[in-house]
Parts: sequence; C-alpha cells; structure tokens
Amino acid sequence: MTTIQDTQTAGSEYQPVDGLLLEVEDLFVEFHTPDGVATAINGVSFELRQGESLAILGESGSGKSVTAQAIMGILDMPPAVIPSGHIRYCGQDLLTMPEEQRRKTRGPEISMIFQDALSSLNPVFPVGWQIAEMFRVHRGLNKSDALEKAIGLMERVSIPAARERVKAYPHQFSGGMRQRIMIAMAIALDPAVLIADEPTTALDVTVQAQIMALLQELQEERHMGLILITHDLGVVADVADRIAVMYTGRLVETAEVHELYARPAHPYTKGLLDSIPRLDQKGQTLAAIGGLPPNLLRIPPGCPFNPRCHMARDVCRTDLPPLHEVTPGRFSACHYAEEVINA
Amino acid sequence: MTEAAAVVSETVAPNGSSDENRSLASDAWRSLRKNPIFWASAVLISIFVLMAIFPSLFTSTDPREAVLEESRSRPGDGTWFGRDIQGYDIYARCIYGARASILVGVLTTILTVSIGGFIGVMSGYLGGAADAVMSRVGDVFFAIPLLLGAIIFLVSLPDFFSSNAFLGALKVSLALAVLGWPSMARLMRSSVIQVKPNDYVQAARALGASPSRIVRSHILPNSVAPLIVVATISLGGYIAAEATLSFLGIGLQAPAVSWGIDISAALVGLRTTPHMLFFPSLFLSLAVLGFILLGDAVRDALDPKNR
Amino acid sequence: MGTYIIRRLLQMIPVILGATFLIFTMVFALPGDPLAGKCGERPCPPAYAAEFRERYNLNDPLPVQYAKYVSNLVQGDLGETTNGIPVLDQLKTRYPVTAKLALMAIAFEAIIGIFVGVLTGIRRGGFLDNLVLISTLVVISIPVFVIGGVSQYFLGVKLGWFPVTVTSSNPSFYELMLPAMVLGSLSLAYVSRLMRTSLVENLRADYLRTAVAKGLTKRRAIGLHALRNSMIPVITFIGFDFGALLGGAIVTEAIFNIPGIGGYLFRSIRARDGASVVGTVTVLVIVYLFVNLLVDLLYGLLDPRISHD
Repeated sequence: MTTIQDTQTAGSEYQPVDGLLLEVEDLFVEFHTPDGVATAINGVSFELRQGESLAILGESGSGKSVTAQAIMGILDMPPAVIPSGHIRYCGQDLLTMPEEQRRKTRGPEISMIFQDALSSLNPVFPVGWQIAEMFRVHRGLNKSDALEKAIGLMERVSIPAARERVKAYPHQFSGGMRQRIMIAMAIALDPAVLIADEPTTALDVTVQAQIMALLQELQEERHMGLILITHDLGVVADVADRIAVMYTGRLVETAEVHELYARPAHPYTKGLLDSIPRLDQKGQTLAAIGGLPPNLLRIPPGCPFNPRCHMARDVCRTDLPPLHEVTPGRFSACHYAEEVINA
Repeated sequence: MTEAAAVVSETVAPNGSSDENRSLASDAWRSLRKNPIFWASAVLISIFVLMAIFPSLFTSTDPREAVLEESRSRPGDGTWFGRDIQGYDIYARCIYGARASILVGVLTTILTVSIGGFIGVMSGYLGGAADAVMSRVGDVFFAIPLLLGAIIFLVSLPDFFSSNAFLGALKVSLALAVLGWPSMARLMRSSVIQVKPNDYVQAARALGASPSRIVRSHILPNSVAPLIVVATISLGGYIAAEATLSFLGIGLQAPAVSWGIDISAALVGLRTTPHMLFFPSLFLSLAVLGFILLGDAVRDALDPKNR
Repeated sequence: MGTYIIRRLLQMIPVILGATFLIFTMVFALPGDPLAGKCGERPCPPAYAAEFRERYNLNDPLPVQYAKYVSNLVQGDLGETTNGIPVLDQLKTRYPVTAKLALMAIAFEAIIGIFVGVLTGIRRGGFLDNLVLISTLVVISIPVFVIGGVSQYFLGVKLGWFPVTVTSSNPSFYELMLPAMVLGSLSLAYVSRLMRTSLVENLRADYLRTAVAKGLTKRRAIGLHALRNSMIPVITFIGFDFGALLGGAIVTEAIFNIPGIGGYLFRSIRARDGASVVGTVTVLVIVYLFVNLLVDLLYGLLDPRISHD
C-alpha cells in the first residue's frame, strides 16, 4: 500500500536532492519606493529538508513574511525587486523558472496559508467550491469528483458535518474553522512544502493550540517540509525542529529549537526570550528590548542590532558580523556569540 | 496594504514632522493646499458666488431689458453672447442666473444638513424605537426619486412666488430639501453609530456628560469629514436639479432669471440659433463642475489611505 | 434565502404605503387650493371643480380621503385628465416606448461602462484611464438636458447622424438611439467609475493573494475571483438605475419629443393638468419601488453575506 509520502513524491517531477526540499541562497529583496530603496531581505540563506519544520521568527518588519512571499512568488514585482539570490526547490531555481512553470508549483508542490482566514478566503464562493478548485484547476477533475475530495479534506481537518457544510460560505464559520479550511485547501494536492504565515496570530489561545497540533499532525503524516512564520516564541516551541531568527532582513541566529531556548547565541534572541513574561516574575519589571528596529531605507553600518544591544562594543558599530557556525549546526551573526551562549 | 507599504511603514519614520500638530484638519488642509484641482474649483466657485451676490460687478446691463429689434442676434453684434428670442442680453442673463442657482444650492444644503443632520444624529444616538421610526420615515421619503417628488411638491404650488427670485428659490429649495434630507440623515446616523460604542464615549457618559455635550464634542467632529464631502457634492446636484425644474417649467419662472429657463427656451430655436443654448449651458455646467471637483478634492484630502 | 425574500417584501409594504401617503399629502393636504393650477392657465370651471371635489372626496376628513384614494389606486383608477380621458389609458399606450428607451439606455451603459471600467481597473494610470476619468467627471457635472441639447445640436442638426426629434408614435431603435445614449450617458460615467473602483479594491484584497498562492492563472484569479466580487455593487447600481430610468426620462423625452411617459408628464406639467401629473408620478414611484425591491433581492443572491446568515 502506498503511503501518502510515496504518492506525494512519486508522481511529481520534482524530487528532493539528498532529502533537501528548499534551498534559499543569498536572497536579496528590495522595495523601490518614492522615498528610496528599502532592503527588506539582506542576504538570507537557509535550507529545508523533507519532514522538517523550520520556524522563522522575527518582529514586524524583520522580513519574515517577505521571505515567504518571495518563495511563493507572490510579491508585487514592482515595487519589489529581487536583484540577486537563488531559491531552489528540489534543485531547480524558482527565480529563473518561466512563470507558467512556476505557477504550476503553487499548490501541488509548495503551498501557503495566511494569517487572516476571513479575508483570505473569497467571500462569495462556498468553501467546498474553493477547496475543490485545487482539484479542478490542477488535476482536471470534474465538479462532483472535486467536491468529494473537498469533503474528504474537510473531514481530515476535523470540520464537523463536512458534507452539509461544504456548501456554506466563509463568513458562516468561526475563526478556527476557517483556518482549518485554509489548511485543507493548502494540503489538498499533497505539496512537499507548506508555508504557514502567522497562522494562529488572529486566533484565541486554545484554538491556536488546536491549529498548531493539526499542522504538526499533517506534517508528520505527509512528510512535508513546514515553514512556520511567527513572532510568537510560545507558539513555536512544540512544533518546530529548527528556528531561524530574523532581524532587519538578515538571519541573526539559526539553531535547533531546544538549544536556542536553553542557550541563545545572539543578544537579540536572548532579549526575545527574556521578554516573555513568566509566572515567577510577579512583581518585577517586565524586561523589554529597548529602542526600535532601524529604518529599512537607512540601515546603519555595522551590526544592525547594535543600537539596542546591551553588549555592543566598538567593533559592532563598524563591522557587520557574518552568520558563522558557532557550534556544529548552530549559526549566529554576532561578534561575541560564545559570550552570549555562556552567559 | 501592499508589501512595500507594510514593510516601509513599519520601519520608516516620517520625514521630520514628528513634532507638528497632526490633527486631521491640518493634515487635510495641507494636502488640499497642494492640490491644483482644489484651487481651480475654489476659484470657480468664488466667481459664481460673486456673480450671485454682486451681479453688477460683471455687467451693467439689465437682464430683463428686451431689445426686440436685435432678438436672436449673434455674439459680437454689440453684446458678448448675443440676444435670445425676446431680445434679452444673454450675457446679462447668464450673470444674473447665477443668483438663482447658488441660492437654491446653498439653501437646500443648509436645510438638508440641518434637518437631516439633526434627525440622523438623534436617530443614531437614541437607537431603539425612536431610531426605527425615524429610519422608516426616512425610507419613505428616500423612496421617492428627488425629481419626481419635487415635481409633485411644486405642482401643488405652481405659481406661488415663482417669479420672485428669492422666494421662488426658497420654494424650490424647500421642495428639494423635503426629499433630500434622508440621505443626510442616513449619513449622520451611521457616523453616530460608528462612534457611539467607542470607549471614550462610554467614558464620557460614565462621567456624567450630557448627551448634547457628547454629541458636540465627540460625535460631531468625527462625522464632519464625510458630511463635508457629501454636502459639497450634493450642492452641485441641487444646482443641477434647480435648473432641471426650471427647465421643465415648474421651478422658477419668468420674469425670474434662471439658466434652466434660458436653456428651455433655447431648445426651440436650436437649429438656427445655437448660441442661445451654449452660454447658459456652459455657465450651468461650470457651476456644477466646480462643486463636484471641490467635493472630490476634499474627499481625497480626508482619505486616510492617501496619507 | 427564502426568509430574506419574505423579510424584504414585508419591509416594502409600509414603504409603499408611506410613499403614496406622502404623495397624497403633498398634493391634497398642502395649504392652498388643490385645484389651483390644475386646469391650465385659467381657473377651473365650476362643474369640473364640484366634480373634482366629489371625486377626490375633498369634503371628507383627511384619513377618509386617503383611504378612498388608496382604494381607487388599487383598482387602477388614477383619475382623468382635464379632457376626461382616464390617466391610466394614457399611461398604458406610452409605457412601451419608455420601457424600450430605458432598456436601450441600460444596455448602453452596462456594456460600455463595465468594459471600460474593467480595462481601466486593470491598467491604471494609462492614457485610457486618464481619458476616462476626465470624461466621466465632465459627464457627471453636466446636467442631462444640457448633454441632450448639445448632442441634439451636434449629432442631429449639424452632422445629421441621428434624427433631431422623434416623429412617430412608435419609434424605431434607430430613432431612439441618440436619446438612449443621452439618457445613459450619466449612468455610464457612474458605472465605469464604480466598476473601476470596485475592481481596484478587489485586486488589493487578501483573497486574491490566496488565489495566486493556489496556483491559479492570473486570468482566472482576476476574471473569476476578483470580478465576481467587483460586479456586485455595479450590478446593483445598474438595477437601481433601471428603476430610475423608467421614471426619470422626463427631460430626455421632452428634448427629443418622445411619446413616452416622461414626455407625457412633461406636457402635463406644462399644461397644469394636475390629475395627470399626480397619477403618473404615483405609478412611476410604485414601479420604482418595485424594481428596487427586485434589485435588493438580486443583491442578496449575488452576495451570500447578505442573504445567508
């Protein structure tokens, strides 16, 4: 009996290279605005393997969403410009692919879910129709077969009474249900990579946990690579294998999840972890990272974090620290990474 | 928002204006000032208002002075725009016609804003049964198309005051206002409904502020923006409506001077004397255009997405 | 959906009653002699006056007057013109002409307006876009009778492309073409602007980003997903406009001498034929309300957020 894993890669013309699904190499993304050129992504590289979940963590403006959209190819190309870099999916560079070929990877190979499911679903079509659309457009199924598949998917993501509700409209569902519908749509064609851009930010805490559990389940079942974009450290702890922390369009740290939580290797990560309020801190002042992220139109020289870093020394203000391997598998872009780890 | 806007807006500090007073009004005025269309329409409107109040600044000819021998004369033969069938100087009539139009436009707007505004605010603030009743009543008035309703109204008072410029204008304004207030009422009502649940309004109520104070200090300032836009554009519409009613013979009537009357008379002689049609049409169109452009410019200036 | 229809129908009844009451009040309850100006330039002959009073129950208290007025309406009795011809008959012969004119105008404004609106919505800022923006602004500002008069002069008198006025009592399509375009010109401007704005808004929407992320072609994403949403306000506008056109073509019919309802109303106003005016306007208002009701229901059909709850 073929497993889902087998059917996913078997029929596809894209095969992972050494288990490597996605390889982002030296990616630069600029936005050309009337006020100047904003560098949203400033030389980012990372990898995603089959069955792995990578969390990309960062504040607003760190470039995490732009990274996701660049991978999907849904950026508005003016004003966005990708001056250099590679995004390789199963060895093939998506950026140099002809658009028609790239379009066919969206859905069957790489899929994405968004933060606000209400505005991300089309309000005038029934949810079943929207899920079934994946099958009608990409696999050429007829209406009733596609709808059957849609019902099956809705059941898989635990939407009660799926057969009756397949004709309902997005506004008739609760927030959590809508997000499940988005997930159903995204995994419909068994993609190898699923990108989730802040999927739980708009949801209640209890619903958040359910959705994250669902994502993890589906990922294991289908052996997908999962990229989870978030600013919330709490959400990420259970699901992610590795975390990449972004700041001002650059990766400042990548590590395996437990190591990162236990001993961060970058002052920014440390600051983020320290600022999570804990029950035993009652009565004390909340720790926060002072200052604001820099203006993307005018990034200061040296380490971009230096104005807010309590450890900043002279070299930090002049030399940009490269992302280097501190211990095997752990990368940090700080001149004093070892100090941070041992603090 | 586009990605560019989202990225840039979150990290870019506005250029040097962090210390300035950034109230909505001053922001709007600033962008209004830069808009050439605003200035063009303001100038246009000022000219017409001036024409309405002081027509003698523009012409010394009496618009009711008929020189029959020269009737239907072309522009240039002693007059700027020629003469119409009855020998009136078209140029003078165009200038004097501004009075009727501006008067009706302004009066109607004042009436609709006061009546409609008052009812709308009451309706939105009180809610419940009062709101339901007032909304239904508004619906009924709203259901009758403006022109048709005005026709019925005026048909019942056909020759009352029509020949006196001021009273005739008042009559027409009344007819238009009776049917025009519901749209203003709806606007104010929805403004009030949007603002009422806000925390600062609840706080004011808890502190014992009287309803009229709450309305004045909190609700009205927020509703003023759409009100101005709609009132300005409606003004242009009312000018057009007055001309239409006079054209149909049911608004102002001779010997009062109105562009609508002139256009109506001019259509008869269209084949041979087109100039009789053109000049009043031009004046009318420019007057309406002026107000609509102004309303558009104000709307753009107040639109938060443009800032 | 069914409950939505019934709800709207029930809401409509008091509005129709209210509107007829309003018309009734304006005609009969305003201060002044209701007969004033209803018989042309001269005061009404005493026989007519007495009969008028009797017929319209002016001697009865107001509520009774209104009740009898409504019962007459329901039976189709709209009164008689000063010449004694039932108003209803006059309207019956004229309605087809106005309906034809209105349909032509709607077709004109819908087809061209939507087409232009979509084009300028997709390709913003180009030459066509600016041209359309300016011309729509101009058309919105110029009152209909000016457009009518000017086009009558240029296209009819000067260029001779169209007949200057309509001469037959059952006009052909060709004869109605210029009036239909004039009638539809204002709405054309609104339709194209509305279509453009609506499309631009929907092109920015999140669900369109999802559609692209689903791997749909641009054509499908814009042509199906965005357009379906954008059309909603446009179609409802066109629907409402149809109702307005059925009743509001007074000026156009006056200028082009079209033997429709509007022309009849115009002449009745001029002749101060009160019964005709009131009867015609009453019918027009009721038809307008009905068409509005239908459009409301159509809106519920198009936008599931309204009808499905």
